[in-house]
Amino acid sequence: VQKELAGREELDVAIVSPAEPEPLERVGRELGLTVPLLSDPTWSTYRVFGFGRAGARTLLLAPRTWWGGFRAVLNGRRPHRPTEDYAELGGDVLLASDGRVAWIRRSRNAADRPQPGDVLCHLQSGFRPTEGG
Amino acid sequence: MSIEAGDPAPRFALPDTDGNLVGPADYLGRPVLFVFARHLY
Repeated sequence: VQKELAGREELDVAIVSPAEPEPLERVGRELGLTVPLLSDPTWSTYRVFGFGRAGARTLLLAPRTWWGGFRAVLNGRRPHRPTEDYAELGGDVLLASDGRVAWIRRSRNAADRPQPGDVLCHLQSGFRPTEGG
Repeated sequence: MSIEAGDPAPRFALPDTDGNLVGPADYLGRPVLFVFARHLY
């Protein structure tokens, strides 16, 4: 998402991660990320936005989860032993220029991420109360 | 109460990799997408 959205004049992007700043900086460098990387090791903002937790079924048995991991390896990312809480899920929050939430999308499983086109669609259409769509 | 579209963004400020605190207030006047990742790798 960052690679397709970063640098667009109409939108800023920031990535929040549960990693501490030091490993976050290292991973961001390895992945070539240029957007701000924000560290939230306590997952406090994840809870504020109401991102859920994955059950064992969606975490381990969902084909999309395995496919997402497989794609990551194909893209050159190495598998690693998780240091964060692996059941926590993330999401995406688009804030309008006035500071209001224009769109919030809560991931339904570990591999559930929006397409960049979805983000741009909501950016152009303004407020739209959806969840997971 | 869960946060939905149209609600004011909650206030928060998180450290970036340079130690600066960054939050929604820093992006007022411009749309911003916050991507909440489970992990980056």
